[in-house]
Amino acid sequence: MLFFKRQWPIIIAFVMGIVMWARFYIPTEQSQTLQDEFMRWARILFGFAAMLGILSLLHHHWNKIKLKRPGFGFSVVTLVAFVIMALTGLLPVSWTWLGFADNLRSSNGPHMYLFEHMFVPMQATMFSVLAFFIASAAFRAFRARSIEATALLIAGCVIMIGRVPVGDWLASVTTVEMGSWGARSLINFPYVTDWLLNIPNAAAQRGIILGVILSQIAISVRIIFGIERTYMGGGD
Amino acid sequence: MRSYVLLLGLLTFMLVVPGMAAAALPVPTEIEVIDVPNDDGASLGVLWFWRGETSEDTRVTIEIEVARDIIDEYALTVDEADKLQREREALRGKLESILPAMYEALQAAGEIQARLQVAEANKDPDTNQIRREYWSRQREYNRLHAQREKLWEGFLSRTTTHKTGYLDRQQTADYIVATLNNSPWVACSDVEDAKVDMDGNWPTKGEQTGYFGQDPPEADKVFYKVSSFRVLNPAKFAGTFTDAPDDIDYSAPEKIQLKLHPNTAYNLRLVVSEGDEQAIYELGGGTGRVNFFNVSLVNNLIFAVGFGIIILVAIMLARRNPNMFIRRISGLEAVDEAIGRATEMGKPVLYLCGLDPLSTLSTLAAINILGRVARRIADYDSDLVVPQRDPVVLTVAQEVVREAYIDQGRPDAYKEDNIFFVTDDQFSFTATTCAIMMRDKPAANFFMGYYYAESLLLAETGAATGAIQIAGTDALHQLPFFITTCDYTLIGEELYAASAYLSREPLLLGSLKGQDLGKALIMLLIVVQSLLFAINADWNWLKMLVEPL
Amino acid sequence: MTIGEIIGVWLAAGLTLMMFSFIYRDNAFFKLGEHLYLGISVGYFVNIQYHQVLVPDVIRAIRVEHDFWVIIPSLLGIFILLRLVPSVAWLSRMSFAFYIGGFAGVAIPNVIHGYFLPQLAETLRPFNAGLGNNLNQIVILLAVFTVLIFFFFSLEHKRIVGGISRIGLFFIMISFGASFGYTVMARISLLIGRFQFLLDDWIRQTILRL
Repeated sequence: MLFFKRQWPIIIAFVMGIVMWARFYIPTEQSQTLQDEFMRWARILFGFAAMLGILSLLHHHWNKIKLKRPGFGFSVVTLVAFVIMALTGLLPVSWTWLGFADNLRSSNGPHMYLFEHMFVPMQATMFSVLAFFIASAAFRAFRARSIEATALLIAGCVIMIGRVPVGDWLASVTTVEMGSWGARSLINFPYVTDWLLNIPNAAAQRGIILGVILSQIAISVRIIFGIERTYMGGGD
Repeated sequence: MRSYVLLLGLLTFMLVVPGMAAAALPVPTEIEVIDVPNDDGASLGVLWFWRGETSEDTRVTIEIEVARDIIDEYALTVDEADKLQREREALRGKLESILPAMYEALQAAGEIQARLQVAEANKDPDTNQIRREYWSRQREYNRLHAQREKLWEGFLSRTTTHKTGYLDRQQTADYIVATLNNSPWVACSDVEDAKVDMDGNWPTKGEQTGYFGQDPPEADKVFYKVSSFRVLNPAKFAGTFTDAPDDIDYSAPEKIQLKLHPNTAYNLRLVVSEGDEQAIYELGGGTGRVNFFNVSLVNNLIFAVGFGIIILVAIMLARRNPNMFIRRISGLEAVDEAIGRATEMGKPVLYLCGLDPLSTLSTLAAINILGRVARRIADYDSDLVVPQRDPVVLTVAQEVVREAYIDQGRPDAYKEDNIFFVTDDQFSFTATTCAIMMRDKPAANFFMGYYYAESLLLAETGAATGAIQIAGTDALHQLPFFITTCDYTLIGEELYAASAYLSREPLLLGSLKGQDLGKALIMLLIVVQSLLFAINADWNWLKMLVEPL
Repeated sequence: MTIGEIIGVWLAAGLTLMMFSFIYRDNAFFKLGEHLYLGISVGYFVNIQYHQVLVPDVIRAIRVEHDFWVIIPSLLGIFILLRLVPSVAWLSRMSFAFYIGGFAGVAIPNVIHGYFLPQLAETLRPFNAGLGNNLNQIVILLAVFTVLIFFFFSLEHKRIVGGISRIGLFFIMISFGASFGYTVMARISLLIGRFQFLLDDWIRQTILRL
């Protein structure tokens, strides 16, 4: 029994890992099918895990309501919203009496109505709140105390100016004739922006990426060869 | 060498036939039809040299002969054909009673709707009456429409099987027959209308050196890969091919695309044209063979196996010599401080594993760190709150944390309800997590794993609550926000090194040494090749190794 | 606009303001919006999983397409659900091993193909493209080299190594500054989009009826 509990998962991980790795170098149709099927199987697995996730959420909020923790009223809102949103999409009921078209998840159905008029605007708003937060983050960066932080601040400012019309304007008003060099602008933010993005930025990112890739290969190899087992939990 | 010969030939040609070379079509010579290496056999390569000048008007098409035996591949067995016929008749019979009534209802609803709009605009007293009428017709239509959909679904489910559905096969066979009746030669769709580009260069797909993963093809040889052809869709022309009612789009394009099959002979010809002038070159047959190893990925294999071996060997060595040095990572030194502060203040610790699923390796790294952090939290006796976006990560995280508490002898302190699924939606997850930060005011926030735009929302909200924040991610675009807003940030590789650092487990440390060795190798590669380049720009021997073939 | 559309725009506008109130501070409106959003997004998630995974990939595959292979992943999925029963909770390990092991195998050749080889090939360029480009190439080599040194875990950041990795960190910070500055404008345009909705769709079209 212990063998099943401890060794089987390691064998499964090893076989799956080696097969999916080797498959990459085999150009046949079956090899592609294998990849597609694996993705599909992973999707199915995710679907089942999703049930557990939703149970976990419902349990979390149900507990809040049951124990009357502070703000439990809001948990009721969540549960009601969940039930309405889920059922409008799942129940095979006609909604025409409410003025909706009959198809459950069609664009005229109640499910998509809620999606478009509640889900989408809230999502877009949370996303747009970022604009305020980026301002406060920039303010935080202004308190730079080390040389490195100053470098970040300066590069950030240069690129911000380089990407707005002011940058182009500055470049055009400071253009002077420089003999055999032709017309050059003295304060050329767009040019510096391009250079910063394409040379030091790209190169530094490359350095980070190369390191990350090695780490990713290392963690994958550890999983395949059963050295990394944290994900299995412990005990027996 | 070859180009000189070609040039010589061309010169002779121009001298012998003065004036003709400019007007005549360019002539493809030494045409070869080959099996494309490194593929699944579903493509053929056509290569040739040009004799004569190609111009911007030169068009080239490779055509394929749609032969009888191609149809046979898709033909149905007698039983299948019978069943298909029966099902079709049954469907037709049932639809006959539904469709007229359905269209009638649709038309009536449309007419009443027009009247309704007028009535609404004029604020007519009987608007409501009209509206009721409209809805009754509309409901009638919806009902019949649903019936028809159901019939069609049933028909499809009975006549289509997974992947090799015989309805699909029958349709394809019909397509090919229709094409054959029209003309046996069809253009291969992937080279259809190939034209020279602005600089007069041919779009030679073989331009990448070593496309074949074998010898690089000659520079001026044109290479085309052919992997599919298009046949006519008879439904579009005859009108009544499928029993699909005509108002739904069951994707009926004028032509459908068919892939070439491996191990099947296809007759090819090459058509060169400029305006009205046209020349046809019969190429004979070609067969694509299935390849079982993609030679062009051999450098990938070398690096993958090489790094794998380095890491495994380093781990084995670490077993013998477990005391290894590893440099200070300040973000990780702060973990104890952060947890300690949370305990003193009686506040929880918030830990996020990122927003990506477990298939992203940084999520796994985050899970590993979670295990370490949970062990310390179990020691210190404070609460650990872990909201999750991915249900698979959720279950693994629960397992890992539970295990950590058991390891530290505190199974009673583990609260499964504190590691919970929030939602799959990125910003709803963010809103809820920010709300937790604002309401429960955790004393320490950990942001590990992969993040997207929400990183800033999370980190800024956390900073506003005054928590100690430690972030770690390999999401390059989010790192700047963590750097400016968090107290400590693990950059890229440091995230992966963290579990080794915190646990000091010899095997993990060994793996870390292996990574360092890998980096040293990369640096060596870069230095040596750069030196070679500095001496001579043509010495690109090591570069060839890393060039994606 | 129909009544449904008008209600929809009011709903959307109300929720937009509720979520915006988060910038000021945590308040009852935001709480309401956040909990509503949570419920709706999970309800939507359920539907996506049911209609796009469970029905086509499991139910339809077995009942209609007679593709019985999907029983295996379904079984693995059920193993995950069995975590709720402590005595057989260990079965879920099989599922995790399948999922994680498979993706680990997928990852190795993919990261090499998609990132490692292209990045390395980009780094190695000959010095034959004029003075400016050659200088740029030297900067690139310097940056890649020093950043890699920064990430060396076997070397203490002291003396020469310390100096080199300091340069590496300097490059990293310039890079972060660059992406920071680059992102700012994109975020601002998102905010503008939201205000456009409030001012145009809501205030102009439904309140002022222009």
